[in-house]
Amino acid sequence: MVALNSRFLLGKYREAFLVDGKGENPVKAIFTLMLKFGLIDGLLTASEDGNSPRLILKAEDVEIPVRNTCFGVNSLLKKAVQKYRLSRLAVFGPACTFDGLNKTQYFGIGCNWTKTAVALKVSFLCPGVLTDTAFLSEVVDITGKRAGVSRFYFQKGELRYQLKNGEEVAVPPALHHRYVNSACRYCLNMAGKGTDLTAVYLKEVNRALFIVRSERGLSTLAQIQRNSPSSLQFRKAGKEDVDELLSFLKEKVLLNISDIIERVELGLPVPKWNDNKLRKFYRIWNSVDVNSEEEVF
Amino acid sequence: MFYRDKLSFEDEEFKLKVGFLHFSSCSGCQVAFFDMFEEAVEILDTVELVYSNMLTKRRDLPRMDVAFVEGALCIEDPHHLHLVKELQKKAKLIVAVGGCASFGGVRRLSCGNQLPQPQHQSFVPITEVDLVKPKVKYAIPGCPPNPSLLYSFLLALLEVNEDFLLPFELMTFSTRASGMDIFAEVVNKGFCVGCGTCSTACPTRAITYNYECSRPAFNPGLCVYCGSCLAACPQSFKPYPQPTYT
Amino acid sequence: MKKVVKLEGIPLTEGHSGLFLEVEEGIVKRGFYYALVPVRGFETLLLGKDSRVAPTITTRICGLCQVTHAVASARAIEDAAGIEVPPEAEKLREVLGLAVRIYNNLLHQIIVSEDLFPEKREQLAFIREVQGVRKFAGTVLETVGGEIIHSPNVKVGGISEPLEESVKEKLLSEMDGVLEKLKNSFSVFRESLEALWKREGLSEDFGSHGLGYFATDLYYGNSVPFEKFTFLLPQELLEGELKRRVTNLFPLFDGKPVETGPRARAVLFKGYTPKGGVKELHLLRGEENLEALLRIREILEGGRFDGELWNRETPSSDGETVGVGVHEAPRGTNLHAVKVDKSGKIVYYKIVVPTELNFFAVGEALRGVPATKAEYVVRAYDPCIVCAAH
Repeated sequence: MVALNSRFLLGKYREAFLVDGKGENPVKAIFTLMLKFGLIDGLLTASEDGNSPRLILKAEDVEIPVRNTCFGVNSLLKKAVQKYRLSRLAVFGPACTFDGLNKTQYFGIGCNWTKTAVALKVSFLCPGVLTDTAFLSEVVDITGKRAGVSRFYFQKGELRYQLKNGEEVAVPPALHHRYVNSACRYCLNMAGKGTDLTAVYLKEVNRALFIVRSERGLSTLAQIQRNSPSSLQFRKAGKEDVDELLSFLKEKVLLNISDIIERVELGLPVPKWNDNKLRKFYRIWNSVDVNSEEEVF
Repeated sequence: MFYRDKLSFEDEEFKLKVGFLHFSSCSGCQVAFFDMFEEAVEILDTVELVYSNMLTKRRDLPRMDVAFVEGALCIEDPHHLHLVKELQKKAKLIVAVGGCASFGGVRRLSCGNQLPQPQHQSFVPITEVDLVKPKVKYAIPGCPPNPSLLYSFLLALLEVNEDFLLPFELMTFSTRASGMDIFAEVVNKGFCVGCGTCSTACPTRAITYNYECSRPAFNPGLCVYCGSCLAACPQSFKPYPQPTYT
Repeated sequence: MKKVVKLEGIPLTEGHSGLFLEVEEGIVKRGFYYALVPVRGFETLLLGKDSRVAPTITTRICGLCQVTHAVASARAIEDAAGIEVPPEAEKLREVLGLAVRIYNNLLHQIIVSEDLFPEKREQLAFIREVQGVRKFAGTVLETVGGEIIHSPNVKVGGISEPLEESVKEKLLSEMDGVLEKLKNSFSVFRESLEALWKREGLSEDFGSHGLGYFATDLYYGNSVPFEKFTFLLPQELLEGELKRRVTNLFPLFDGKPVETGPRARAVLFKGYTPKGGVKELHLLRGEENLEALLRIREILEGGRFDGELWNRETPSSDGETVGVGVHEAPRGTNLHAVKVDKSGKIVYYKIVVPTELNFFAVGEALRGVPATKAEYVVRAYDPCIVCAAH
């Protein structure tokens, strides 16, 4: 049976930390430090506004997306692996980026020897991604005014945008659900299960919640701390810090599930070589063969 | 086990008999096997290579457990017709390697009328030939497939890793695959997450990325129908052990 | 006693080819070598297509020497449409061509290693060594060309991706180790080649012929007038059912059959005096690998390639001018000729590949060799049959 509990919504994890950076986003800080100390040789992510993918090779160039509009990260994968021949690549993006990356690593389709090229996978808790135009219409829907979005974060289980005019607004999940990219309406992995580490943006710009899932994630954070003890402050997160996210995730997942059921009812076609995606959903629905395997390649 | 039916698992001496043969193609897929470089030597040591035009001295086709076949069948060439019949008799299992054998590939464009044999004009991928179709168990996309894909595939075949092999089995039922499928099967169906994996997988850069709309941009003129893009798309299938919905 | 021997499918070569031999007392009196893979029609399938897609499609003629077709094709269209190419792009194309030369010549060494090493263990050790060098050539092809096989970065008007200094430095840093490996494997190759010649009782001039040589450059390729080529059909040259089965043309340069390839380049541009015979082909090919590697280093060290390398001008011509693109491929001179119309569409395409040119040379070299050893002659020319029946 599917239970919309933390195990399903957030996935298995080892530790959760509240991390404070010195006046800067702690996610940005860890990548900067890792590049500086040579723990990774490149970072594949998107620009700060999330609009275009970036392949970052130097610590001083590090930027990370702070809006939930992170598209096309994998379009630079071949460049990173086959041209720059990076062998310790870090990737930062929403969960779907890692679907593509994991698949490329597992099968090897499309990009040569990606399997051995990735050192760390970091996802952000993604409420569903939007393009620039979708942001505009969503913000007008909420506030009645035209304004750009400068960042998104979670506060007490609520999705919020900081607008370019300085205003901060709450984004109701049901409304948000109507503006996100279509595929995000069928997504059941918003928390980035299958990555080493999931970062959750919080109200304070210099703070984030790190949900660490793998041994590799933990040891990487330990190495960063050892190399530069003063630049990041780690504090074990309490259960309530994590649990407050669940209400948002649950609401969004329920919306997504109802959309999937609608698809199934209408008999909308599934992709050509998909023998699994929606069928797997059926299986869960019928509580047959619950596959709880989680693996980070 | 399809190729081990007559042998016990304890048989230490068991070596998979592998053959490579090509119909109408550029030989690039076979060369891609060499491009595993040092790993290719390991594999040559692990399996028994019984037939390859480039590596063995045999002239006739021997019996083999797995035949890796590249290229499309030219129906005007009597040699090809003979070869495909031989293949049906001699191979226990056939793997279509690369775009031409699996989905037609660049052979889809051929129109004949070239000297000295202008009648050579019709090319059929082996997944479309009913005589051998029951034996064509797997199709590997790509023009050519990546050495790393071929390496993983060979390992999966030796270990009989069903999880890995399933999608390649599904692909034999699809005789068409091009950049257009990314639109028809993924974008049009509302499954595109805009991750950009298809554009990275495209060997000709026919698929680029439209940053404005966060969708793939497809230039049909450059497409060689190899099927890489749809095979790489995380939304086309996801049967590998991965974080699932539980 | 005179008899005719027909061999089909020459093992340890690329593709499906055949030999027609007239044998008298075990010695070949007259021989023809020909391709038997179907004609794929690259010359006709390109007609009516936008000329900018030609390099991407023609590179798929061959999976062994892929880049050479892309480069020849791009150069032909640039020549027809008068497009200027940034000189750095030409240099990078030269690098790609040389990388594929190493990559491909070493593949040939792997293929003939079955002949060279009676001992399986030695053969695998040799292949392992050679693969190390091929890996570097593959790296060059992948970083500069985009992919190892079928480089998508070669475009009409240049190279679509610049080569950043950091990537270049990475390549150069591997160079010394690779050079060492290449020298080692070449000396092993040379020894085992000598041993093979002794074992098989082949003479030093085994497989010699009296044809002239044809090449256009040591490394990259210079234009030649396309009118100088004429083509014989198998229907004109051969007898019997072979007329309907042979799938390659037999090109003549200046009305004469010629040999192209490493020996032709050495004779015409390095002042090399040929000894005759096919053994030196193997050795000259090996020497070309060393020279190619050094030349790659020289080019990469000698300039910066991190600027714009692609003139994106739309190709357009009058539909009459023949554009000729020549590239010195691993096996010899590869030539593409094209006519482009005003809208940039291809209205005429013709490809002359080195293996096609060498069919006559192989035939001539067969004269006088024992029929049982004929395959050694063929293998020494490293024929690429898929190219020949493009």
